[in-house]
Amino acid sequence: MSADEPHRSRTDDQWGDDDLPVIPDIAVATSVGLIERPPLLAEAMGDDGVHEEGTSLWKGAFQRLVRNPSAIIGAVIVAGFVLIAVFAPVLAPYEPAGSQWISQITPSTLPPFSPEHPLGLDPFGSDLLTQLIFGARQSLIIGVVSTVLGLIGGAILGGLAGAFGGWVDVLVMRLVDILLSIPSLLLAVSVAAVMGRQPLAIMVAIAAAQVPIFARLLRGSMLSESRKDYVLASWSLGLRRRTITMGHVLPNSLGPVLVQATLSLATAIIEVAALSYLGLGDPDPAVAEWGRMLVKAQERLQSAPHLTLFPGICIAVTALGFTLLGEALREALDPKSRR
Amino acid sequence: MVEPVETPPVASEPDRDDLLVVENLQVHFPIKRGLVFDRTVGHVKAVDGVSLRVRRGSTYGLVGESGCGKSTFGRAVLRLEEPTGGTVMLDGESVTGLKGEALRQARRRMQMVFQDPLASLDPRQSVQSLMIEPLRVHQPAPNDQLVARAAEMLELVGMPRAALAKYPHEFSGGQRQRIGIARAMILNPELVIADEPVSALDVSVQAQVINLLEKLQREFGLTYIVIAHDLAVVRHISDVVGVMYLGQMVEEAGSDDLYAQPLHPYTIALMSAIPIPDPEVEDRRERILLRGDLPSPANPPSGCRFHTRCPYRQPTRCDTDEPHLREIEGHPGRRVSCHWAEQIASGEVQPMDSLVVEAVAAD
Repeated sequence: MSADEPHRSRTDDQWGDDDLPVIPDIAVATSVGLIERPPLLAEAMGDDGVHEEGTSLWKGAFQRLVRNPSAIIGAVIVAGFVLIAVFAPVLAPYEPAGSQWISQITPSTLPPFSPEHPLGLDPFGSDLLTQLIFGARQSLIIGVVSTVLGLIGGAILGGLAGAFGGWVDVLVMRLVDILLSIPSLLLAVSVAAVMGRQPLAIMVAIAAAQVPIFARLLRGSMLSESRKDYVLASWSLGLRRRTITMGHVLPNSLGPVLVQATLSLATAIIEVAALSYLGLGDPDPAVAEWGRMLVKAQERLQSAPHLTLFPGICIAVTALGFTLLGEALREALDPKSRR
Repeated sequence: MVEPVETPPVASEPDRDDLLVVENLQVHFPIKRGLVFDRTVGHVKAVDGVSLRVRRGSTYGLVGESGCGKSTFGRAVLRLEEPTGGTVMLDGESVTGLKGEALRQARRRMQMVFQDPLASLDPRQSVQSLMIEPLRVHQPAPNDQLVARAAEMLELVGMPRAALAKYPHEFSGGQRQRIGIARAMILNPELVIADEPVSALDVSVQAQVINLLEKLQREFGLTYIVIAHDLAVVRHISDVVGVMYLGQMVEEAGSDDLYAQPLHPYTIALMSAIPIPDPEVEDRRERILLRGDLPSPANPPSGCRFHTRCPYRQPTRCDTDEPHLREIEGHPGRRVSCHWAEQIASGEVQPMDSLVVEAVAAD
């Protein structure tokens, strides 16, 4: 097949390079300008104005995602968690943190499960199911806000290092190395201790532990992207440095960072529980929080193990949901799995 | 950098016919070592003093085995790699002296076609956005005009207009390379450097892409430098061919002359590896084997760089004197960098017997 006759008919949805019939006797372009060709051929080549849509990278990733069973399981768990958190007041059978059934509680026994209280009462005389449902709110808000804070902080640091390189890179990355050298829980505890006991403290504390992870990831990703041929092609086309960095390198580097953010949400939810467990959470005892429910249930571990079990399961399942979703997202975005 | 003692072999009177004049181009990459402070312990001399001229509207083929510096040379001409020495003149204007905004503006005039068409297109961008982007930067215009221009360009390379809405990963290799070519040509460049433009493609598609490049050259009066290791491709497309070895040019000649009678031992060895499409001749074809690998460009051999592998190596001069490109008697317009080129051409100097084998056996 000769390239002097480059126009050929189209099969259903793709053009092959070979094996397709060459349509003879067409006007070959002689200058810049639209090529005259028979109406039938023009139609076959898609000149009739009907533009079919291509599959973008993200669209393709989404299509792979919905075919992946673990992504669906993860998405269902995450969606359920978010729905429960958002609609907690509607879903919960009672007001949270009420103590109207305190009279039924004795130091050694709790009343058994009953139709009014399917999961029983907690040691302060409120409904356990209600507490668990409202606990989802705390975990979601703190988890999301802290991950977003960590993502923004890390993206700014990593983006600076990746975009400018040179001494900016050295400076930023040494800073990140210092942050990384402190154990993340210890860092979070120190931040929470400095800021005092308030909800914001926990968010900042968890975010601070995540900043170096995001910063490293984005920088590494940007460095490897900026060595690729399409960036070289952009330079050779004379694009501006700003366009190349912001329009090409950065968007192509975000994939792994977003995957990490999903995975970090799981860790953040666990860390919220851990910090609350350590007594660094919200000082208001009325606010339901899974981590604190664990602490409060400790003294009754022998007599009422379900008080520890239920919040523990909630934490584990939610974390699992985000992890499954994140892993599936990573797979879907992996260029090697692209078909 | 030590300048070569001899003046660059290219005649230096200005010639309006030459679009590109490269003089003594060098690209040396520092080798750094050290725990705390990087110290430069040497240089990889990827390109070490290459000079060439390319006539307007012609095609210059650059061949050599992998690692000889031909790709680096191409990138250095386009300032995608910073040259450490030498000059590049495009149409009488120095490219090597340009900086910042002036360089960015000048890039419009010289473009590159890459080896791997998928890697050279941003996977996130649709073809439309890929094609429009360079126009938007250099020739701002309303969007519909830019789209129309992009569609015209796609049709020129034989792609349907509907391709605009698609993404690079949805095309086959040959189609991607067409898009890559269309993107390089959309700014109406004068010089196009094609770095292994077809080596990532199926053989069945290679000819199409080569023909497309030739068609575009005829229509737009383009000047090409085609970098390739496939001698057949280069022979087909080039007017002049330069052969590179270890960062230097060893022979330069008109395409037909070079293939009819190679003069440099390296070229002779390369040519002996081409199969001949005639079974009887092919049976008698003898092949000269090259021993060993390319020496390290960080520490090139003394004297002639090819002497460590040369089948025609002589006991004198080869390992002590560095040869330079020169014209030899009886072959006007050709330049060879070998002390013994005349004797080899006349048959006075023969290759070592042990290195000459029957081609059939060698393959």
